[in-house]
Amino acid sequence: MIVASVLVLCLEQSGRAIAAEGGARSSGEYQVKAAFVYNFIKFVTWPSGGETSAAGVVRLCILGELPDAAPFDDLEGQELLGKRLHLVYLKEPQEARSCQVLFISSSLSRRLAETLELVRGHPVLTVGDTDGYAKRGVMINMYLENRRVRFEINAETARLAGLRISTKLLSLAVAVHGTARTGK
Amino acid sequence: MRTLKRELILVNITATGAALLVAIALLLGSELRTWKAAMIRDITIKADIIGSQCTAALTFNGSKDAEEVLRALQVDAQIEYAAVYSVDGTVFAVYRGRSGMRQVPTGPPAEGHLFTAAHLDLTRPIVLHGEQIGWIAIRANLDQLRTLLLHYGFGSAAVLLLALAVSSVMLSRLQKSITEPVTDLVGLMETVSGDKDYTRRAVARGPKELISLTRSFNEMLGTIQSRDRELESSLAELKKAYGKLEDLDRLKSDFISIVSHELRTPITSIKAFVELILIKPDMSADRKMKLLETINSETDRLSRLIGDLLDLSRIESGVILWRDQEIAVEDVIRTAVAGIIPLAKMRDIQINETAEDGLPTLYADRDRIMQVVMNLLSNAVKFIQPGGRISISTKRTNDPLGIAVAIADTGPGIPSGDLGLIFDKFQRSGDLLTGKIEGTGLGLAISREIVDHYEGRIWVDSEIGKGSIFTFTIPVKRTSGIYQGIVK
Repeated sequence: MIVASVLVLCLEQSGRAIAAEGGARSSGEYQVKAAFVYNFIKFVTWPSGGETSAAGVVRLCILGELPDAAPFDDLEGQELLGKRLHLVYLKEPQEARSCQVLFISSSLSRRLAETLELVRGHPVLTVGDTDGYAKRGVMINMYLENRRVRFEINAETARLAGLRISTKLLSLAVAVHGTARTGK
Repeated sequence: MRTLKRELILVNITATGAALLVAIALLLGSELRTWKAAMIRDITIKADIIGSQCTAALTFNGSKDAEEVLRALQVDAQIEYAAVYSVDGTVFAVYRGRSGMRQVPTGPPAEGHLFTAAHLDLTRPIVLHGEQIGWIAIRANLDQLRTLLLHYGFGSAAVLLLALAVSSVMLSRLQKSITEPVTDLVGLMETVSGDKDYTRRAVARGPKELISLTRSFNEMLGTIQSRDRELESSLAELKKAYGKLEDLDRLKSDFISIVSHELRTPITSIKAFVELILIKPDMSADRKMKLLETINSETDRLSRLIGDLLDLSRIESGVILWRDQEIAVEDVIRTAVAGIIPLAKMRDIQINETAEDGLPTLYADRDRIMQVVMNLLSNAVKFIQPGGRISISTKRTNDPLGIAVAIADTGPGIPSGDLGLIFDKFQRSGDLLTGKIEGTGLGLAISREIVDHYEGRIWVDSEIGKGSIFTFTIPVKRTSGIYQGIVK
């Protein structure tokens, strides 16, 4: 079921975010997005016993170039769900299978299909911030609307990857692609 | 006035009402506790569900979305407002209830629940993966509780009225079986104490205690009734005894006046004749002799009278000495007849004497038996006209063994009205004042005392113009005779 509720995310009120200064791709915008990624993890359940889920560590991998030098660096070492967040910058998509969360930047747009193929069937939460990524198979895709960060969810790919996205998160999404078994 | 019936009804209403009120109060208290606990549970669950639904919105700062979630509370009319607070204590999202006019606290109220007069305020933390990210506060009104209380009030009143009505109906039945017999009994008591009619009896009915009460009352009435009767009869006896005493008293007075008169008569003649002789010393010897003879006979009469009086008084007071011995009654009668014959001849009266053979031997005082026979014979001689006849016959009686002596005369007879009196003292047939009749008037009285002493009987059969038959019986007192014989 598609939830089309209007989601207003006031950037000014976001705990970890700095007020966005209008234009796209600003450093403040990426800090908000980094906080969103951190929060997404809270509403996603990974299958238990997978070889990729190393005990006590959640690997957050960054693939591609980012305009800001280190928007995710604050997340390194954060405690989350009783685990420690470990930030990894990947050079090649081949390394992505060992990640729990994979942020794919827009610089990798050309090689997106190849990258997604690499992690297909593996419990890797793919996150992006590029127009059309969700339709192309990225599970959660963030975008800006009226200077506010919003996101869309491709529930189908998440389900195929064995990941369970909370209905609470689904209900916040602007649009959901594919068929989510547990859609709201 | 306080009657048994009203007391019973009052007790019933008080007891039933109190019991029911206590039961209702206890029930209501327990119901209220249960209801409150249920309401707390209900609101807590709702708060937790809504809070959980708001975690993503809180996390991603979507207060509109949180308000959308909160709007789900619209289905619950009792919720006046609900508010979600973010972890820094500021209002994040608000639902203002159906009335929509609630002032919502600007900060989260203390966690937990609080019942006020009209509301339940409940605050729960919102937790995501062990980390508190905010609060949810809900205020619910107690309209349902008020409705419940109202229903309870009406229900309790209905139950109370029904119970009182039912118990009153049952009580009025019970009251009939208790108070009606009691009322009847009380009515009867009042009647009896009013008219003193102790023949009335109460009907025993109702419970066992009342029946025994009624029986006891009836028994009491019976006792009073029989005492009443006893009292009446003893009163009558007393009256009779009093009458007798009065009679006796009168008899005694009569007796004294008669005795005085009887004693004075001979004394008067004696004194008159003695004075006559003293006044006329020169009267002829012949005439003097006649006067002296009269004086002599009057003195005899006086002496006899005094002797009789002494006898009578001795017999009556019981101081007489009875010289009992074995006697042949025919000898006594023969002696008596021999003694009376000179007098009878003087009056030209014949005496026949017959006796059965084999008469039993009496054990008695010879002189006393002789006295009885002499009295009867001399009476007969005195009262009949010259030329008359006296026959005296002695017979044996068998039951009891003894003798019966009958003395029949051809005298004038005794008026039937006097028959019962002649055995009393100084009762003589005929006119006392004519002087025609001799005797002391004590003879028959003495005779009766003597016969009574020997447990015999004496009576008279008489008819005017045809003479009289005096009869007396003396039983043989064998045992006592032998006993007394031995003692003597």
